[in-house]
Amino acid sequence: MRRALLALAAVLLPLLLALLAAILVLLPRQGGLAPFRVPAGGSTPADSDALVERGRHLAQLGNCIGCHTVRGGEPLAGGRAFKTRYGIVYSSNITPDPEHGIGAWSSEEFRHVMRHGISRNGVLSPVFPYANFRHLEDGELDALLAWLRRATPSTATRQAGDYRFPANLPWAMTGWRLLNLRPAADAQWPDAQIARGARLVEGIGHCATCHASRGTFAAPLAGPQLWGARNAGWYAPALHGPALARFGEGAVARYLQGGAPHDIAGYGLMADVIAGNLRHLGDDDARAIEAYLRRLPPPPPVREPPLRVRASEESLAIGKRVYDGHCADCHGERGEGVAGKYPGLRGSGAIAGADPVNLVKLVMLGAVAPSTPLNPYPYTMPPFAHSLTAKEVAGVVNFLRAQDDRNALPVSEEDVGSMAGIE
Amino acid sequence: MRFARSRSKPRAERRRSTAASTLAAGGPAAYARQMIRLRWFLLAAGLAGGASPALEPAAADMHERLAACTTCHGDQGQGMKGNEYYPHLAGKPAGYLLAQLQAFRDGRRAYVPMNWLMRNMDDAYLARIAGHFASLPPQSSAEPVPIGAADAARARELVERGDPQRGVPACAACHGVDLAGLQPGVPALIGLPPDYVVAQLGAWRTGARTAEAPDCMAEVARALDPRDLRRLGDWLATQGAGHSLAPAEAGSFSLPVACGNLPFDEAVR
Repeated sequence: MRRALLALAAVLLPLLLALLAAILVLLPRQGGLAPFRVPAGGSTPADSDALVERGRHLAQLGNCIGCHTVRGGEPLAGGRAFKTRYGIVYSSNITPDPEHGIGAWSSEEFRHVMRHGISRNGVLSPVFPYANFRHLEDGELDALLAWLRRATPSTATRQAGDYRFPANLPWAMTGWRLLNLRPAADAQWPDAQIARGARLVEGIGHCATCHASRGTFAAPLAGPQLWGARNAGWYAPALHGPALARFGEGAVARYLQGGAPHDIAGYGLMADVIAGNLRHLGDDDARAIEAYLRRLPPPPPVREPPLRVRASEESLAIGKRVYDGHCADCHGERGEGVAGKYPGLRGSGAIAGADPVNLVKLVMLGAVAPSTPLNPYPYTMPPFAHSLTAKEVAGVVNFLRAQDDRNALPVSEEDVGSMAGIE
Repeated sequence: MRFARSRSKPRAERRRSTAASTLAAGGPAAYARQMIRLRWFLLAAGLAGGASPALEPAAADMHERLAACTTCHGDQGQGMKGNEYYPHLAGKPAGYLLAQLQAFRDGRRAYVPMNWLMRNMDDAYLARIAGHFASLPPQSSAEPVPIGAADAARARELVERGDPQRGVPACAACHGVDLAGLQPGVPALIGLPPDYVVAQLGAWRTGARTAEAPDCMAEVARALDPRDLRRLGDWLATQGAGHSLAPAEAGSFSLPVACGNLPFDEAVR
């Protein structure tokens, strides 16, 4: 008996020691023990109109309402579901209700959770972009809290995440932090405008949440790698110098503010972000974001995979027929568009590129840009789900993509079915 | 039940006068009139405002902008041909159309393609769209379907007298004796595809379609005998062929029940 225990100890002890050593190495990298010490008590921000207004603007740039509100539900009461590879995460109630919301939180606790993702409720899921919000200054976070404290309180209760392995293990979120979180010092930008853009994109704007993919176990990529990613069913396109080259000077800023430069306006989930948030961007901020994004380098080139699948001639022929019958009226016989009305399709972000999902959705569901002061009565793209077969939709998608790149990965009828939904 | 004077003209005469007025409809004058009317309606509802006049599109331009609507609702808002599901929009009261657009945007009516397209439209644009289709001459592509004599008689009874035992008012009491609707908020019942009518009544019963409280149509639909839904849908479709009646002018008769923020008169009941 004693021998068996000794043998067990001989196996377990080195394992325990190794685990301890790993924690000792990993702990400082994610910021030491300080993030785990949630401040108790403290002050609350002044309830001044000026501070609240500043907070409202920051909340608009940060899309707080967008993520913390169920469509048609109580604002900021949380409950919106986010599907991830590791299960479903629900946003939380951030109204000032003292019991169910954050009404009892001090400025110190709010700053802490925004920067470290740890609150009195424990270690939060990295769906909450605290790695971005750590770029915010104390004054900005206080302004946000001042604005939140004026919201209508809601008694909506916190919904625990519906996690899959390994995210359903106890301590999973702490483990994730240890393995993946590597807060780095902010990059120094010599140009004040680019520095401002960097703060907006990497900070309150948290653009990487949609526009960047994540590594193994949803690890954030190091640095600004906005190389495009599929998120919530849509493809958030790459944002860097070459990717934005087709936009003229100032056009990216205008697009973000809700305009339609080159007749290109936000669609899909970006339309929500523009309608609810970015339309409030000031000119200087919008220009700064554009300057910063244009400065970002493209990803290193990937080697072409040796095997290419091309769309069949039959599918391309169907696509040509559909295009001539349904698309050419507005977008022109050769995709040239009509200036001031309908966008040209040459080099379109929805058509070119690795992921055809946005194009499938555009054809099936149609699209309307958000109505904004810069584009109050947008032209509308009709849906074709009711009038085209899946084969025809696949055909026109393949035809359009082949115009841009003869080797573009084709879509099948089945792809059309699986890509056309709204999450 | 009594209706105000404009409804007391014989049906044939009314049809002539509306046919004459629709000759002018669709032109710039009708559009301008419709927009003025709509502006007052919006002011009352606290919705007016929006973009600078320089950006305001003209009527013809609106048609170009609304390709997403006309793909299902017809180039002139006449609805889908035959008995397809999509209803006509042409000539419906602007206030009714606006309320429906807002309901789709805000989730009070559920139909994914509409919910998706309305998602980021503001009230100013929705009001423009409502005004555009309201200004088009009333017309519908829906076609009659066969209906048995007994079913037709029962439907006609509901339309003209309601079902007092179940507390169902006559359809005509609110939608007009010619069932062409009433400005600014009561739509025509004729010219609609039968499946559409049945689906709407069903949606009201289940709560999938709701309107501003008091939601009179939800109450009516729930009070109806379920067997009557199909009879009503089919019978109404037989009345709609060549539908070209404009809704009655606002105030030309009073509603006997409270519906949203529309004026009503309890004494009428």
